Amino acid sequence: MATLAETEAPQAKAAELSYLVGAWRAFGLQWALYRHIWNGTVFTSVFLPILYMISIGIGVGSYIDPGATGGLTYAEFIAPGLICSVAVMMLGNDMVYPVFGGYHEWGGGYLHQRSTPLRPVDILNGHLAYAVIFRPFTSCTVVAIVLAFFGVYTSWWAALAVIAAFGVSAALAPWLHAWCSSLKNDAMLNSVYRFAIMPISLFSGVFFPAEQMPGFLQPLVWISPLWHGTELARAATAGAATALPPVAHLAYLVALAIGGWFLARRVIARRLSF
Amino acid sequence: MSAAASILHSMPIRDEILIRARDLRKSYGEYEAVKGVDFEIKRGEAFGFLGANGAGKSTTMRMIGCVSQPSGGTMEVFGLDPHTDGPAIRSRLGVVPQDNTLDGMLTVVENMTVYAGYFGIKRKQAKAKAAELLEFVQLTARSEDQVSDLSGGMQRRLAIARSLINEPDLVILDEPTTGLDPQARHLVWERLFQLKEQGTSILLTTHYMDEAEQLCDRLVVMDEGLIIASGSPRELIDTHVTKEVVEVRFSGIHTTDLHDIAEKLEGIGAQIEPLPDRILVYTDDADATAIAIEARGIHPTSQLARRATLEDVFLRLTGRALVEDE
Amino acid sequence: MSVIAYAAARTSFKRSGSLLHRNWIAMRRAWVLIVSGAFESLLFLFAFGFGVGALVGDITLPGGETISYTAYVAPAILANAAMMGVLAETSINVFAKFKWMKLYDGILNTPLRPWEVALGEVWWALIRGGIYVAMFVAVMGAFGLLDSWWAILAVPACVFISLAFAGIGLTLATLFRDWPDFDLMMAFVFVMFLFGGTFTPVEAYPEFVQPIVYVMPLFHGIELVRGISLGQFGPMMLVHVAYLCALAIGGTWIAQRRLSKALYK
Repeated sequence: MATLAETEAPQAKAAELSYLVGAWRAFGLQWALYRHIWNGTVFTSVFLPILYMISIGIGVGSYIDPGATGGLTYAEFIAPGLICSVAVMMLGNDMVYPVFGGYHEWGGGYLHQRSTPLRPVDILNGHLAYAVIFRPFTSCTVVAIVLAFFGVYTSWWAALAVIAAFGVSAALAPWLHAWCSSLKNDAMLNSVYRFAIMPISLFSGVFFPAEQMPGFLQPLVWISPLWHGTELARAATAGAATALPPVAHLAYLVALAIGGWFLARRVIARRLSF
Repeated sequence: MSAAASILHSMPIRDEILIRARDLRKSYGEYEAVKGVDFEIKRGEAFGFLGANGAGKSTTMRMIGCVSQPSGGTMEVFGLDPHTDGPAIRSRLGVVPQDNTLDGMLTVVENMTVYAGYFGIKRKQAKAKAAELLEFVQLTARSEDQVSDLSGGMQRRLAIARSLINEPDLVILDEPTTGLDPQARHLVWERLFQLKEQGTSILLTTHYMDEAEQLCDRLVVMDEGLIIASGSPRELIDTHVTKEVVEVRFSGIHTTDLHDIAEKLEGIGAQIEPLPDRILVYTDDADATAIAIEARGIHPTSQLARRATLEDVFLRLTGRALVEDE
Repeated sequence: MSVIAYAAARTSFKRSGSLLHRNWIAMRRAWVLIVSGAFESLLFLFAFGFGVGALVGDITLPGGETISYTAYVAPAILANAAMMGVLAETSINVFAKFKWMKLYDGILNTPLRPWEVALGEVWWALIRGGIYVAMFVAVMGAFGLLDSWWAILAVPACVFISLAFAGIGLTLATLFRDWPDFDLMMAFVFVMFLFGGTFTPVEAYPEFVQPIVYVMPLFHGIELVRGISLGQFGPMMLVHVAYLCALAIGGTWIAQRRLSKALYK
C-alpha cells in the first residue's frame, strides 16, 4: 500500500504542528460547510443590510434633518454602521449554533476533529479564522461596495470600513465562542441572540448617535465592540470625528480580541477533554 | 535470504506492543469509571473490550484516543505518552466513535476529504484515498449524497472508511454495530474481518458477545470499571464455563420456583445457573445431561442443548448481579 | 345533530388542551425564554421608536395630523411582535417537533387527531403571543404612547394578528424540508417588517411599490393596530379585519389538511 508522507514520521510532524498549520487544517471543515450553506446566508449578509439602507436610511432618513447626525445625511450616518453590523450578524450565524453543535453528535464537527492530530486550540483557531477573517472580508466587502452606489462615502478611505468590521468581528467572536461552548442546553442559544447579538446591533450608535441614550446605559455602549468599530468606520467613510482618538478605539478592539481568545481557548480545551 | 531469516526478521514487528496500560484509572468527581486496569495490545491483533453498558469501556477508549486524561496509572500508546503526545498518537490512530460524528451537511466524499485535511494529507492524495476506501466499504455509488440521507449501516461504514484515511497503525471502534439491523451488522463485520486479514490492528468495544467471538483474537471482559477476565474467546470459554450448555425451561414457573427445581438438579453437569426464566446447566456432555434430568423425574417444557458462548462466560462472571436482582 | 357537533367540538377542545399541557410542561423549564421573548420587540421599540424617533421628531401623516414618530412606529413594532412570536412558535418549533423530535408520531398513538394537534399548537402560540403583546402594551403605556383606554384594544387586535399568522406558520412547518427554507421565510418576514409600512407611511413609497405593500398581511396588521392605538377608526379598518379573518380561516384550514396528510403517512 502506498504510504502517506505524513504517517511516515508522525511523531516529528505532529509535534511540530504550528498554530498556523493547525488552524488551516481545521478551517478545511468550515470551508467545506460554507460551500453548502453560502447561498442561505446571502440574504442576511448582503440583502438585509441593503434593505435596511433603503427602508431606514433613505425612507426614514427623508424625515431626518442632517443637523441631528452631525451634519451627515442619515444615509451617510448609518452606512458605516451597517457594514460593521454585518460582521456582528455573521457572528450570529457562525459563532452560535455551529459552536454549540460542534460538541454534539448532531453537529459533531469538533468531536470528529478531536480524534485527529488537531488540538483543541487548532479547532478553535480554524473556526475563528472562518468567522473572523473569511466572513467579514467577503460579506462586509460586498456590502461596502453595494452601499457605494448609494453615494454615502466621501472618499476612498471608505475601504477601511471593512477593516473596522473585521476588528469588530475579531473582538466579539472569541467571547461568543466561549459563551456558546459553555452552554449545556440548546434552549439557551436563543438568549445569545436576545441578550448579545440584538442589543449590540441596535444600541451601538449604528442607527442613532449613542450619546442620545440615557447616561446610565452609556457604559454598555462603551463596552460594545460594534460602537468602537462604527466610530472608526464612520471616520473612514464620512470623515467624521471619532468619539475617542482612533488609537483608543483600535486598542480596545485588540485587547478584547486577545482576552477573548485566551478565554475561548481555555473553554474549548476543557470541553474537549473528557 | 532464507524463509526462516525473514520470519525472524518479522518477529519483533509482530510482537510489537502498540498499547501498554498499567493500573489505568479514571474518575469523574466521586464516580470511578475505570478502577485500575492492565492490558497490552500487540500489532496485528484484534483486541476487544467486552462489557455491559457503563462498564468503563468507552472511557478506556477515550483515554487511548488521548481525549481523556487518566486520573491514575500509566499508559503508553505507540511508545508515546498520551498526555504530551496526543496529536502524534492520534495521527496514527483511526477512530470510529459510537455516534459516528459524521457531518450531516457534507456529502459522503467530502466527509472523507475534509477529514483527510486534518492529517495534512494533500488534496489529490486524499481524493484518491477516499475513492479507494469508499470502494472498500461499498459506498462508491453514494459518494455525492448528503450523509443525512444514508441509512444507519451506511453511516457506520462511512465512519469506518473515514477512520482509515490516514492508514492508521490501529483502528479503534466503539460499539461498531450497536443500533444496526442484522444485515447491516454482517456487512460491517465482513469489512472489519477483511481489515484484520490485511493485518490492520483493531481495537473494539462491544456488548455483543457474538461480535467479540467473531472478530477478536483476544479480549478482556470489563465489569464496573475492572477487568474480570482476559484471553482468547476459546480460552475464556474453556476456563470459565463448560463446552456445552443445556437450557431448561418450564412454562408457568418463574424465579423462586426455578430455584427449587435448580436445587433438585444439583449434581448434574458441572454447574447449575437458575435465571429468572430458565435454568442453565453447564456440562461437557449435553445428551447425558438431558437423560440425567429426566431420570430425576423432572419434566421440562423444553430442553435446548447448545455450545457454550461468551454470553455464558459473561453470565458466569457477573452472575452475582443477576442473583441480586431477585 | 347540533348536540353531537357540540360534543365533538368539546372533545376536540379538551384533547387539543392536552397538547397545550404538554407544551406547558416542556417549556416550564425555559420560562425565562418565554418571558424574555417580548424583550426583542422592546429592543426594536427603544432603538427605532425612541432612538431614531428622537432624530425624526414629529411626523406628518398623509391625513394631515402631526404625531411623534415614536407613537407612529410603536404600534407597527407591536404588530410585528405579534406576527414574529406566533410564526416562530408555529413554524420553527412545530417543524422541529415534527421532523426531529418525532413528537407527533408519539402523540398520534393516543386518541388525538391531527386536527386537534394543530389546534393545540395554535392555542399555545396564541398564549405565548398574547403574553408578549400584553407586556409590550404595558411598556408602551408606561412611556406614554397610548392615547386613550381604547388603546387596550390593541391587545385583542394583536391576538387576532397572531391567529392570522398561526395557520400560515403551521402550513409552512409542513412544507419545510430543512433549515434553509426557514431562512427563506425569515427573509420574507424581514421584507414585510422593513417595507410593510412600519417605518414610513406607505403613501411615501414610490407608486409602483404601493400595491405590493397592500398585499402584505403584515401591512393590514400594522394599520389595524396603529389605527387603534392612535384612536383613528375608519372604514378601512373593516378591510384590514376582513383580510386577516380570511387569512386566519384559510391558513388554519390548509394547515390541518396538510398536517393530517403528513402525519397519517
